Amino acid sequence: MPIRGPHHDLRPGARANATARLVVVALTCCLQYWLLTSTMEAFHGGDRDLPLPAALASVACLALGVALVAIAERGEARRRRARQEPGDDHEP
Amino acid sequence: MTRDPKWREDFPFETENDEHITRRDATRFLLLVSGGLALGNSLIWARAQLADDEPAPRVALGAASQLAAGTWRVFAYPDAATPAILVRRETGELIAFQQKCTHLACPVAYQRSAAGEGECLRCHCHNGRFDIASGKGISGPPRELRPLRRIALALDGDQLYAVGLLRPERG
Repeated sequence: MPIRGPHHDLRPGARANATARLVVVALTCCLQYWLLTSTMEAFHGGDRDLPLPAALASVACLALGVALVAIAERGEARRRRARQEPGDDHEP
Repeated sequence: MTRDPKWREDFPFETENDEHITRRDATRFLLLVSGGLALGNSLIWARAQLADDEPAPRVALGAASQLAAGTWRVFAYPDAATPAILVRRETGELIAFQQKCTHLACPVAYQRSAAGEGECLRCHCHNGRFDIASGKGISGPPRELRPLRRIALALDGDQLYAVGLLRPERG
């Protein structure tokens, strides 16, 4: 029986792709952290107009991260299914 | 109990790299952090909506004539746990602010112009000063931060009332 390959994508550029996703999600986290502290400061200062646009921006950042990860994971799942041999039940 | 993959049965060797976190795991974890931050921002928005609906209490502060020019006193507003400062300026104008310094929440105190630095509110913890008219920080750490919240006052005869928190000026 042939030995199954690793679980993850081995195509050229896949590593850079994963790194890029990680960097983008990390940067959006930094932006969200700044948004949260600034909004908290403004809220305590009595500003009631800022929290809504700040919350929308933060949710948009989250949506961007979720979309990036979901697209990548769906692609990998599709490739794994394509690689899977008929009758092989050793899916890791 | 999950079964080990076939390649693990054939090559049952552990390496240090087995314990390393992959980029995918790190990205998923950061996504969780991102969700928490978005939730935090949403909660602030929800709290802002609730705060808008609460009516401002009307708190009696005593007779206005009892406060001489250039003096001050402390009261609590809008609830018993939030200290505020009422000042009769040297010009005779009555003005009130929340008393917690916007830097690290130390109580601010009124300082007369006789001290040589002009009439202001001073935080003695880190030597911060606030403008007496607007509550904006003019020196020390508060200069970079939000202004003190101003409290709206109303006079009914000689009786003075705190009637609400004023929205900060933009800019």
